[in-house]
Amino acid sequence: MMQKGFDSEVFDSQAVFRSLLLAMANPGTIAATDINISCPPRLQSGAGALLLTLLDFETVLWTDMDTDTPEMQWLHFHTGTRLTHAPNRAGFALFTDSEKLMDPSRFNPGTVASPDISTTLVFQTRGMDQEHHLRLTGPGIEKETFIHLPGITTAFWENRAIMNQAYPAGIDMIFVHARRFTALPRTTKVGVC
Amino acid sequence: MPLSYNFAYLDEQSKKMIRRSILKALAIPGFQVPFGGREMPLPYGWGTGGIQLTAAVIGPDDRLKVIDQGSDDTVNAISIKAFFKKTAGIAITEETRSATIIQTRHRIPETPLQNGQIMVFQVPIPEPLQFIEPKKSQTAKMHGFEEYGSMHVKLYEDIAKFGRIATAFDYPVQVHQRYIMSPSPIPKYDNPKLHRSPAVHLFGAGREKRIYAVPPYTDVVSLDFEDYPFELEKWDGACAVCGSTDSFLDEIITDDTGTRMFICSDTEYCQKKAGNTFS
Repeated sequence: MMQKGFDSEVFDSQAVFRSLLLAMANPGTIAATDINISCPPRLQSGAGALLLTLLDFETVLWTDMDTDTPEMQWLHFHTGTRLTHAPNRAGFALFTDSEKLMDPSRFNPGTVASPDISTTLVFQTRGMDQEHHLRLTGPGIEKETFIHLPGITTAFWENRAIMNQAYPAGIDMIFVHARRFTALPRTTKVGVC
Repeated sequence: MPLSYNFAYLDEQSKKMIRRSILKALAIPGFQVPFGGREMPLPYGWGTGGIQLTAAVIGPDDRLKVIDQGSDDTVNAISIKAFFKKTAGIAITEETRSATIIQTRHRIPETPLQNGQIMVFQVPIPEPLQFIEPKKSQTAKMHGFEEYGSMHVKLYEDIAKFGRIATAFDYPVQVHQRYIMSPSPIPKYDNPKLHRSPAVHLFGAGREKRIYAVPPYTDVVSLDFEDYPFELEKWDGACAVCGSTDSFLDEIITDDTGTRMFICSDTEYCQKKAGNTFS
């Protein structure tokens, strides 16, 4: 049987978006949603809530899961999002397994005249805290802030930095763990401590 | 709350589309994100872009402040407050400090903003290059390749004609050392308030269907020249109501012989300074 989505589409999605707005505006801060939704097992509830908030029939989603899984059927049922197997055509991409992380440059960074048509990546991680592991600077950060995202390799951050040299083209990222999330827009400089 | 509207008027799919655009706007500070602007039940020029942003962001716990040229009580501000009271049952405040969302037509409050507050600007003309190059296809390329020389030529023409940069409002800024952005027709007096502001600044142009943003703690620099640096307006007198000498003053003609006085444009700031309390 299909699991339900938000209790209130109007108010739950507003609350989730508002935390996401502040997360994207203040990179590296850890936001949390108190919305309780019961997603299919391989989706963390924060990721489920974010995707229900952002996806609809206009969006194109790439994912590391098979399309016939209960997770993808649930997302498709509640949002109507289209799916793609081509990373560079995706408006959103969902990584459920950080073992399978790919070079972010396989996704769409947008063009120099339309950098907004780029892919937004959503990662489910194994944890998230503010230990001094990654040092973040850039717009939205007063001086510097620190975050630790276990399981994401140094090579991944190096690839991200190379790709974002093409600014304003670039890839924006949201990392989720359980009900918490943090955002790293393309403008955020990441230094591995 | 009447049940004839969805919360905050817009339908949920429209809000989703606007929300996605807001996130991209925050990720690329100063870049104008095209969005599917909706028909609103009021004419273009009355803040349809700002209203769509507020509708996509606002929730039942918010306290909304709306100002029109600094005033809480002029027609555009009153109408927009009535709109959100009717469609969202939202709490209204005049107090800058306690507002969570401030929708504005062309002023930034004098009271310093805080992290977590959201400013929503109503923008008539989002494209700062429009008066140099009317074709959108061209201005998109100019922004893309950072070809901004002609913007400085426009300011130079001011100096050649008037001996100073005569632009007094909608004074162009460069955001995060990259995009040239129209700060909407705020007086240039308010430009420095955008620089590394702790608040989120969202700009919405309804007719032109563009959304752009300045995240907190982002560099916002007014364009100028080494020998003609950016300067703020100054007034000789003080506010006739509260005596303020450190706020933006409006000139009011008081009779038909040309008698005039100056009063604060920000009514909440002025009333507080004059010692009046708010509910």
